[in-house]
Formats: sequence, C-alpha cells, structure tokens
Amino acid sequence: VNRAEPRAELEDFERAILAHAPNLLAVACRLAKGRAEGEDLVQDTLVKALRARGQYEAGTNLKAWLLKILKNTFINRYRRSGLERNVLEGPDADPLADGWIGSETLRAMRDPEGLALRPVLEREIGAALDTLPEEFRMVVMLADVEELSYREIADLVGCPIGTVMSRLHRGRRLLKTHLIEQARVMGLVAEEPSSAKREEPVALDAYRAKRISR
Amino acid sequence: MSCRQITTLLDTFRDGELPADQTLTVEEHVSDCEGCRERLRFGGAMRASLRRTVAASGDVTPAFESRLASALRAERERILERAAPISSTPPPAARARRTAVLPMFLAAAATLGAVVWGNRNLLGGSRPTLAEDPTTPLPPTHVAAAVETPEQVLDELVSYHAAPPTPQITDSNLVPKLEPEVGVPVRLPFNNVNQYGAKWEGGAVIPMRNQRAAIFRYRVQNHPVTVYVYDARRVPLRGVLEPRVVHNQAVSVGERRGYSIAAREQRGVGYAVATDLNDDESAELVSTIY
Repeated sequence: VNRAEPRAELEDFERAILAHAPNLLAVACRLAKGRAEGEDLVQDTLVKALRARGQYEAGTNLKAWLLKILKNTFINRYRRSGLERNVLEGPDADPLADGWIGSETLRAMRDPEGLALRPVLEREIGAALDTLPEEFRMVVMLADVEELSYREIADLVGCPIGTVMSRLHRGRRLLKTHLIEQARVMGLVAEEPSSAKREEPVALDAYRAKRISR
Repeated sequence: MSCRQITTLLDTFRDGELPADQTLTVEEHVSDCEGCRERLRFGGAMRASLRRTVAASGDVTPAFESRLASALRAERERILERAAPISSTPPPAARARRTAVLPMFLAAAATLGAVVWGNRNLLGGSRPTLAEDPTTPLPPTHVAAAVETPEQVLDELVSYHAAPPTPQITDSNLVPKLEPEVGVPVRLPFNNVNQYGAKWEGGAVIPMRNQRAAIFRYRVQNHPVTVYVYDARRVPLRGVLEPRVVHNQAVSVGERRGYSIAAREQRGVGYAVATDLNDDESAELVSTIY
C-alpha cells in the first residue's frame, strides 16, 4: 500500500516526531530501567512511527500516539505476559484507608515552599518509581510527567478510564508510601505518622473508622 | 464530605478530571481544611519532583540524536525506494566497479593459510577511544524490533554498510569490550588485516532483532567492508542467501541493493560481511573471519 510520497512530507514528519524524543526517552529509560535500553526503545519507536505514519490522524495528540507505539514496543520486546496484567487489574487488594497519612508527616516531607519534595527525599523518587509495578509506573508517568488526560491514557494503555484511575491512584499511593518509608529511615518524620484526630475535628466518620480499626 | 472522602478525590481534582460538582465540593472543603490543603500540596510536590527526575533522564545526547536522525533517514530512504518505480532505484555501487580488487587479498589469504591471532599491535598505536563526534550526524543505525523477515534484516545490514554509524571504538584493542553488549564472543574479525592491505576504521554496537550486534568497519583497497557479529539464532540469514562452500566452510551469499553480502555461522555465532565487491570476494572474506 505504498504510494509514492514526497520526500518533503516524510522529512516533515521526521522532524515532528524527533521533537518528542526527549519525552519518549524520559519515559523509555524509566520503563526499561536503563539508559541504553531506553535509547533502543526510542529508536525503535520512532522508526516504527515513520513506517506507520499513515495511521496517525492529523490534529490528534502526536505525543500520545508516539507513547502508544513506545508502550507496545516495550511490551513486545520484554514479552510481557498477560498474567501480570490480570493480577494488576484485579480488585484493589488494599483498602483506601491504608493510604491515610497525617498531614504533618506530609508537610515534613516537602520543601517549605511546597514546590517539590525536600531535596534529600527528592533523590529517592526515581528509585521509588522504579519499585512500582510496570503498569502503575506507566500510568503515573503518563499522567504526572507527560500530562496526558485520563482519556488519552486509557486509549494509549488500552483499558477503561476507571482502570486508569485505579492504577493511577494505587501507583501514587505506592510512591507516597515508599517515600514515607524513606523519610522515616532518614529521620525526616517521626516513626508513627501523626494521628488524623487532631487535624480534622469535623470528620466524624473518619474519626470513628480510625478508632474502630485500632 | 469527610476528609477521608475528600482525600480520595484530591488526585483527580489536581489532574483536573473531576466533574464540575465534585470540583466545587473539593474546592470548598480545601479552603476550610488545612489538613487537606497539605495533602494537596504534598501531591503537587511529589508530582513536581517526579517530573523533574524523569525529565532528567530524557536528555538526548548529541550522539543519540545523530543516531536517531540517521535511523530515520535510513527508514525514509527505504520508504521512498519502495514507493519508487523499480527502474529508478539507483544501484549504490555499479557492478562494473566491482572488479576483482581482491586477488591480492585472496592470494594473501591462501598463502597465509591460518590466520595468526594474538598480535594486537598490528594496527598501529591506539587512537582515542569512544569517538563520539556530535558534529557528524551520520550513522544509519537501524532497529530490529520492527524487522520482521530475514529479507528486511538484509536491508538493515546493507543500510548500516551504506551509511555506517559513528564508531564507538576506534582502538581495535577495545573490541572485546563489546562482547557483553552483544552476548556472543566478539574479537577482531581480521587480525592480520594489514597483510591484505585492509585498514581497520572502527567498531560499534547496533540494535538488531531485539538484541545487539557488533559492527566493524574496514577498508580494503579503498572499498569499504562492513563486518557484523551477532547471535545467529536471532538473525537467520540462511533462508534468503544462497548456500556455498568456501574453504570447506558453509557460507551463504547474496546481493542487496547492489551490495554483496556473505554470512557464516560458527558455534551459534553469526558473521556477515557487506561489501561493494563481488560475491566471491565477499564469500572469501567471510570465510576468513576467525
């Protein structure tokens, strides 16, 4: 189905996709957990994109399209089994309440301006990200780093929006938990998170739930 | 809503994906509740740190940029070539030019008989290693995950030959260092190249079929010769090349876009050469490797 295509058109497309190389590389290095693998993955992705340029719908999000190719290439390359996916898509094993963390603990972890984590902790976030199950890592990066919408992520990952939200929620919670562990090890926060009692006098339901669970 | 309920909405709120009514509820609650404000701030801080950390690994080096550019260029040329009428395909090396430039080489090979290993100083003093010249945006690296058929692998090989990647090593003593990346034993293919009037130019690792191959560049009497070393299980070339026996060794030979290609397998390791010489010469060359 190769029709004669002007060189200029191909070159334009090349330029357009090359402009996204930094985004793709950032995601790829994190997915593949290595620079060399990440670079190979990006190269594969861009060459495939050029080959499949006819499938790209002009006017849609080019970065999202490229990320989708990257994700598929990654999965093919690393021969992801369907098993892991099934496990991940199963019902959320942990109740939401497990994610409850006192706001004082959180305050101690971020820098005073609130613009980022405290530098000593910020160094840990890459490692924290690497500990996430792959499907969570993917969704967290797409949302938090690449700023794709839930709809775009769902389309890219090939799952319903509800699944995206669940993975995002669980991925972020795992990140948070990991960081808190680190913060405790570093002595940035107290061993026990501050109780939620003091800070929310109005939240009676939550208060009771917490009392009962103890 | 309780803080606990609000907390479950905060991420979605920050993502701007909450329905309008819930957005208002969260805004109202957060404006009154320091605890939830802190949770919201923490989420933002975590995201900012994450973004910064991940973006740091997206630093495209000049070497990688040039590798990407040439991979795309190679693919573009392939697309254009396929789209163009057959007659317009320019032979990169006219057959007429492929005169027998190797008689000397062959004679030398025959006289020498066995290849002498071990003398690593044949190629003269070592030059600086890891030559990464960002100003030469050349190499037509190409990839493998996308490659489906052995025919396409041949295309890949030829593309690397026609426009070689920037060498990662120019000191031939470093050749064994490529071994861990390729996953098969990698040594200098022709150790006594000087005897043939061949010159070593450099080596690199290229992606090939979901793994990596080593690629070495030589020049034999002004003819570029590219040697590939790879895991033969992953790159089955025999099917598309014609079998032949040279010096009692099974060699396969073929042509692609005006270049000749010869391949050989030994103990699971694949060796191939691409040249603008003729088939016999390429077959001879590949049979003398190791």
